[in-house]
Amino acid sequence: MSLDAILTQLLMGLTVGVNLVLVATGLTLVFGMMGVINFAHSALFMLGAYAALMVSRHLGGFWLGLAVAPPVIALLGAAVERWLLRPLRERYPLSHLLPLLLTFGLSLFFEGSAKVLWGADIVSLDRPARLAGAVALGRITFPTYWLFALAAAAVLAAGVWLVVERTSLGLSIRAATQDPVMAAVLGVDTQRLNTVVFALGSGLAAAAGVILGAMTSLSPQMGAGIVLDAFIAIVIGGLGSFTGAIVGSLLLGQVQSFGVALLPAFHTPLVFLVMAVVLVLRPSGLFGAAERR
Amino acid sequence: MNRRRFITTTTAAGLGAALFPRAARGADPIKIGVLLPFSKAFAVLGENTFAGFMLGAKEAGPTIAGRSYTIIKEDDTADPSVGVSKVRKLIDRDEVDVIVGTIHSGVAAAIRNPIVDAKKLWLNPIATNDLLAEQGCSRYHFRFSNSAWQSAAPLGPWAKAKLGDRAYICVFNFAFGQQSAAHFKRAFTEAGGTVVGESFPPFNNTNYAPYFPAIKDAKPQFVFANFAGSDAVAFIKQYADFGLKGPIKVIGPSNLVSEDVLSAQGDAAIGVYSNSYYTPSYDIPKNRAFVKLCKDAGKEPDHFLCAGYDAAQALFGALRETKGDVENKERLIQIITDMRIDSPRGALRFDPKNHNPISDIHLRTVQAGPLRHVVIDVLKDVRHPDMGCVL
Amino acid sequence: MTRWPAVVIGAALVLAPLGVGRLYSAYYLNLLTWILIFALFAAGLDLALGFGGLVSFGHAGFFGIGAYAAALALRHVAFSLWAALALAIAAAALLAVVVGYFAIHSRGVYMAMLTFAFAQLLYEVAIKWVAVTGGSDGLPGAGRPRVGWGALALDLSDKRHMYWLALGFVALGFWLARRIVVSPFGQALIAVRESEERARAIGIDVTRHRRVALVFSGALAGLAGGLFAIYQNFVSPELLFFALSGEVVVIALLGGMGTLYGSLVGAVIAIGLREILSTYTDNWLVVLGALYVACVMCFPQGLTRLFARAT
Repeated sequence: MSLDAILTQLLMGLTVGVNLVLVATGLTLVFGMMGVINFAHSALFMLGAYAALMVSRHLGGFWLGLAVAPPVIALLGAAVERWLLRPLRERYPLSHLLPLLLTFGLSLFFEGSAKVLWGADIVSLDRPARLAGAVALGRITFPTYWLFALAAAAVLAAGVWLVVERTSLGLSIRAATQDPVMAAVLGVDTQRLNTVVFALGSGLAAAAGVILGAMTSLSPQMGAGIVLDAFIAIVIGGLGSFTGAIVGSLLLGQVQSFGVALLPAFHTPLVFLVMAVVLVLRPSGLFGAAERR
Repeated sequence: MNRRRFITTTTAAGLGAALFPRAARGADPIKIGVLLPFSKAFAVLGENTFAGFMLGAKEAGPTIAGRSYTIIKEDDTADPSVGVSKVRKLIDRDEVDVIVGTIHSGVAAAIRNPIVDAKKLWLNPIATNDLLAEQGCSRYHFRFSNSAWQSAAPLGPWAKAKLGDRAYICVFNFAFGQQSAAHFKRAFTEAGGTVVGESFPPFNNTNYAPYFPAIKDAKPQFVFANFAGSDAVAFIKQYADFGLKGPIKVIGPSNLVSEDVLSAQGDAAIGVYSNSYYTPSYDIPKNRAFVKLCKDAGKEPDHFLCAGYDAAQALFGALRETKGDVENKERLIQIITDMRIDSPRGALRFDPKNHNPISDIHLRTVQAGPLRHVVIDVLKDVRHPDMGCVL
Repeated sequence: MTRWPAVVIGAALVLAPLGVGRLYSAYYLNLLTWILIFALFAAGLDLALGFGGLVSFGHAGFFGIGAYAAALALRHVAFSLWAALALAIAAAALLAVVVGYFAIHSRGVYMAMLTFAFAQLLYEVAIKWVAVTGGSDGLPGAGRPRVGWGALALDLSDKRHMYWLALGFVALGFWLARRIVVSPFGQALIAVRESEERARAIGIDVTRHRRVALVFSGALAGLAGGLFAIYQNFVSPELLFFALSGEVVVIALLGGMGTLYGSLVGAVIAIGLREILSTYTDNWLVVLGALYVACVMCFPQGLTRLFARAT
């Protein structure tokens, strides 16, 4: 492989990886704090894209869509947590599978609703003209929009990292992820925190939906593939660990990118192989806490 | 149907039943079962095919030779197991006389045996399985669009002549993709071309960028690509994003840039070559009328609508000839086999050897202003070759 | 389950084929066959998940490999029901041994992801290895074999005979699962699920129990898969896809985890409801999703326990 090809694959993998971080963060924090596998996450990703489409069509502009969609979907996420997930978990605090069934039902409901609201047609989210074309980066050219996707996701991810690692909110989140009971005893309002984290995760997924949606197309099923990748990423990185989500996502992005180039016939299984190897060596993922439930 | 029509028809049917006891059996409505995907990934294709069929039904009118008909539609969700179950429902519970369906070739393969065993007439608008024109063929089955072979092999010699002799193949790793790649490769190399590389991205893939460096490195003159739905949009858009579109042309079957994805692809699709039996801009009187018919119904014309419409034309045309008799399947089969259908695609007739259409294949390229396919060449009378079909 | 409802339901199930043609069409019998086979599939999952606490998101791997094994056996080995089912069970059990070897030390979601990965790998193989599996277009069956001798022979092309055969095997599968659960092995398994540390403390070999549970679970799922391959006379990669794994988890949950017979209730709801809804509306997904959410919020214990309270 030529150096140009290597650099291009690296950038591609980075773009995918960073956006995967946005999707994976929500999944891993929700699991870490609440022990819930959120199957509706793919729907939130998809709804973010459609929300931006609506804004773009009726109010005008990709940028407005990107600004409005994530907060709107964050609110939707907060509502789901507050009125569906929280009452269920309060009644059956020990069950992990009931929230699973709930989020699964929600994912069907959201996907079906998208079809009712917007039809089954494949639609496109228009990109701003300023982001068309390609950019010369030294020896290689890279599409401008992809560079934007990389940068925007990186900025968002960095923002989240700052919040998680450097603010008191982040401290509460980390504490609650490690030991929810202890955190509650020490005065952390875990209930409100759950809602906040769920909303944050939803908003991030929605942002990724907008960014990636403009690179591909919108359809009610669009979230399935990337959320699956996100699951694998957080399993590799360790469930509940934000650092793990970052490492896992970036790793996965590169494995997918170079996997296609180096092992064309086997690149799909390659991802599973990586996951299996990591789990055999570290059964709780790279940064996962040892089993405590 | 308004009330007066209904009363007239029923009275006529009742009188007819009283006067002609033998025909009284035929006073029950004809039951037509439609099995298409109406949900999940193939939903828009199923909806369009059904819309086309209903346009044809509307033209045929509410009764055929005095006999009314009901259309029972079922959703196969593009899953073979669901398809088989729904076909059982249509045959056993609803007792349909005809089955119109489907799109997903796995479903078509799965429902073949139940339909043929029950000796029902089967009009297949879209499913491309070569199997149905080869070892799995059946006299009860008629296909209204091209087989995988027809949508790929004829491109071989054409591409060698018009696009160049170095090709790269990039198709989705599902039956239709794999089959079309094999057919194209064989035909292209037989015509003297060289396939310089192949890749098979998975179905439901959104990121095609990692495949591009290999394509660039192989230095082909064009790429034979086959993707459907969202995959087609992602591929074409990203192909343009990464600057391959200018230097390396793209050619593929119609689904690569069909109307359901063309508007989403936008300018990225300009210059892409494709082949189909139906092009909305094909200027013949029947097609002009058909395009208007579609647009009045709020639909953009595409080959799914055309196939559905032609299936309706074939069915209702045949039923008119048998005066509404749907029991004698052999007669219906013979009528359709001999039929010359005035289709929006041109003249449609079936190959008596395998019940596949003998197709004129349009080679088109996408042009802007407004975004549409423009026919640049026509390959006439393309038949699916004889490969073991015994009807 | 209390005695009388079980007898009534059992009798109804046995007598169901007699109403075909008179009371209802063969379609309902067909649907019921599908539901029964999936109930067995979900019961297998329940054995691992509900009783063993092993989270599997890849159970379609066991089902699908059983289905393909049966289909291929009928084609290439022997046109015999017993060969097909034996190979189906063997293939699934073998897969369970392999998965167990890799996954057993992982917990909860990690195990789920590993089982999912195995199933997806098999799916990829099914799609790629076209010469053997028929690829994404699936593999048409070789036909349905005859079973038995002389007057007692079953012609499985007859939907009623196919139904009775499926019912027989499903009943057998449920009975076996029940025996496993109430046996010392099963009780130890439940103990492991409740608290691994305590179980270890009293000398239970946790890993071995888990592995064996997975093998039983996989074998039952494989049996269901083999039956399905014969029932449908067609196999396709969708039988290995994770959507199917998700569906069977939902079936087990709807009926109530750890009840075994709940799988039958869950299957009736999940499959029956979907079939009926999709006939009446193209937007059945919305309705189904809303119903699941409502089910969870209103009857979280699963519907079997709801019936149990009522009887």
